Amino acid sequence: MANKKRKLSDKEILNGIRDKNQINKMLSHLYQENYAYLETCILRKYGNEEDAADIIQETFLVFIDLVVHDKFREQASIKSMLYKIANNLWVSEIRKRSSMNKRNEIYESEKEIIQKDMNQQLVQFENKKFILEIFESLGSSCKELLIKFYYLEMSMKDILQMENYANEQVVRNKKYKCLQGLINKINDNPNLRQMLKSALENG
Amino acid sequence: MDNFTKLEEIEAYLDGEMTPSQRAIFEDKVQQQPELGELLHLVKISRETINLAGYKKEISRIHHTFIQEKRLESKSKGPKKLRTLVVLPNILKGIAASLILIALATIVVIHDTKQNFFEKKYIEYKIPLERSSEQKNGIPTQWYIEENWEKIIENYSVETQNPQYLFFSAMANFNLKKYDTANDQFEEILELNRNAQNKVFLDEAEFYSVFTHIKLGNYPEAVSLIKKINSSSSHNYNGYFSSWDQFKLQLTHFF
Repeated sequence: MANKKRKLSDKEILNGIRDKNQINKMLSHLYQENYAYLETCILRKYGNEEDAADIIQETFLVFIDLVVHDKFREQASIKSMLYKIANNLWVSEIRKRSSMNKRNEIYESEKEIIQKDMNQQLVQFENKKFILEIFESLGSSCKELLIKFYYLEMSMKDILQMENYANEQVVRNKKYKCLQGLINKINDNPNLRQMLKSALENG
Repeated sequence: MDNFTKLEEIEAYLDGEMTPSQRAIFEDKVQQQPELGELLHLVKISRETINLAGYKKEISRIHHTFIQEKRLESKSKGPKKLRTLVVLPNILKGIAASLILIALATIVVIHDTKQNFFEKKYIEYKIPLERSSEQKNGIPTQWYIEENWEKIIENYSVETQNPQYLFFSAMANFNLKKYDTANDQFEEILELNRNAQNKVFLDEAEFYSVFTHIKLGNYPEAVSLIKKINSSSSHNYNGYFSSWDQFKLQLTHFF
């Protein structure tokens, strides 16, 4: 943190995020450049440091999701996009909390800040968050295998060398079993299933 | 077809491993079998979420490293500041500390005013909507309720000289961030009301003019309007702005 690194352009950051090999470097850069700013935004809106830490982590997750699925069209700078996301996530969080204790008057004025397009993207992200929770509930061997295959993009051969499987077919079957397990768990949740169905119908 | 075969087929489709003709056949099947379409969507979103789980892990790791480094850095910075102060005589230390505090407080107030004054004080102009009045709303009112700002501006004609329409047009420009035009139109309302016996939208125009001036950086004009609002006890917005608000805006202008 002490050594000053060259400031990357938005384009370099976006390309870096799309290239998984550079994700650590890009995330570190985004943290250095934006954490203090985002934290101040949350603190100014009645949040504390812990709230800010949670919201900022989620903000980066939403941002990466938008970038890797080409939904961030560079209509704004990365900094202002991160601000929009953090602000919307925090306002949603405030609403959740205030609807719980029926004290929403302080935050009523914040409603207008939520932008319609951003809201749509956050609704889609909410669905993924539910699935993420389901994914976390899978057994650790399934989680690791799925992450290795889909996120780390490791080949069956590489996975076979790392783990104690008999052969590639066993790894392949195990991967499908885990994926099917995740899908079954999603299907077991009627609310989530309905939300996904409406998301599919609404394109 | 068993579930694994279905999944294999879907994954081959998503990974672009099918020939064009296989793709066409598969897409045709998806059209004919809604449950296959649903499963395709589920597999797609599940794979996206697994990727997200990977990113979440990375973020969490970077987050912890960043926070730890931040803590270490603030610890190592601490004694340096003290050393600078130690060499100063006590009285100078006191003066320096006071000046720093005053400067910091001023910077904080100015920064806060510039960044947050509008957000904290701005209230949206809402038209009271009663069930019985839903049918009676005229076109500009209806457009205003629908937030159809472009339509209001497009249809506003200078010749009408209707203060209500003029107010809606000013608010429409304001909402579209065309602050110069909004400002001119609020001025026009004030002018129209100057000689009129029945004051129409005068209080509202003065109130929203304050925010327009703030957006334009015309702090003295905003302060003078606030003073005017607070000097008339019958003004709809009397007392809404505090003396502290006025002071903050004056300070912001001064620096």
